[in-house]
Amino acid sequence: MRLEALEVRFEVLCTGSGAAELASAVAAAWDWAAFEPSSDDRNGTLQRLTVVLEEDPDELARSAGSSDLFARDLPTLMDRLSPMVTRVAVTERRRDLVMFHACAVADPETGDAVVLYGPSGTGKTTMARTLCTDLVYLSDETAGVTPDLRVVPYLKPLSIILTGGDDLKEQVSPGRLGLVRPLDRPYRLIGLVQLARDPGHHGDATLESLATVDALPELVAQTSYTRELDRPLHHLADLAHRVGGVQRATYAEAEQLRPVVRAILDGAPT
Amino acid sequence: MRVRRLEVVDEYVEDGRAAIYTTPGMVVLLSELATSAWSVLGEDWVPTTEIATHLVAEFGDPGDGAADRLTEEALQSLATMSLVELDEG
Repeated sequence: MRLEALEVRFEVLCTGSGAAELASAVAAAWDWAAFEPSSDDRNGTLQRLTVVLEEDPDELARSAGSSDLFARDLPTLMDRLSPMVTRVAVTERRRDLVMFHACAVADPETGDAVVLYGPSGTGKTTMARTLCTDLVYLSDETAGVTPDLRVVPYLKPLSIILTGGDDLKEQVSPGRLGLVRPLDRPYRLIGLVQLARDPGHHGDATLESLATVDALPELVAQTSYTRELDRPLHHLADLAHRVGGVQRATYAEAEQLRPVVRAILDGAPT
Repeated sequence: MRVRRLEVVDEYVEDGRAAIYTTPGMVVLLSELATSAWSVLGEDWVPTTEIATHLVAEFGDPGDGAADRLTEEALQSLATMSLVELDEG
């Protein structure tokens, strides 16, 4: 199985007694990230991940040392694969992308994109599921932005908790959830939104412009490898200024964000 | 008491307030007063009374001879954020 994350190409080698089941699950969950091998690949770097699904503990112990990821059951393995792919891809792109811990969506007509960044617990996956029935899904985890403001899609499966109290999440293809798939076109960043979840908030989300200096602490906290950037605060401030500054959205539920994201995409003043 | 800057990753000033990326990895926001104190510090030690004089000139005298004490408190606060080093000697 070959897949692409933040334009980093991976070959996932599924091994062990459960290799076929594993390969099938990876192919289903990561279908939007899949790419077809071509002659160009010979010149490009391919990240190889060896993943072992093996029920037999003795056999697992033997093969674990030579693998990147291993487990005795499929849900555990699938749950761990996504963070590993993210980690490798983010590390690979640390010098040429600004990468926000964010949900990224875009207007299917214009290609304008909004990055909504925030820590875990702000509901980015739910946000993607909610907003991307109309808007293009670019990521629910990491939004990579190039120097010319192109948002690099990361079409990972969405991690969804199946049952209450269960730590393991199912990895679900965005297509299976009915999300809007990006086309082969550039998506350009026009809005940067800091997520501020307030469970007591009622009505539509509220949007307020932040002074860039006030936005920087959280912007840095939700950006990977900022120390790799030359003068990171100035780099992020410049990026914010180029998209009209940072706005903070206060909301309780993802649905409340729909009108304010639409307003940003429509260029409405906030 | 003397004070000097510690090395930082980056600093960004807007409308008289600074965001500073500290070497330990935190980004801290400074008030206008703390930004002003920070702006006159360098790698060399300076007496904290000099900083107090600068702040009084910028923001006025708090009276009751409190300028030195308040300046030292502000600098102590910057020290806890790994922005400055204080020499009590």
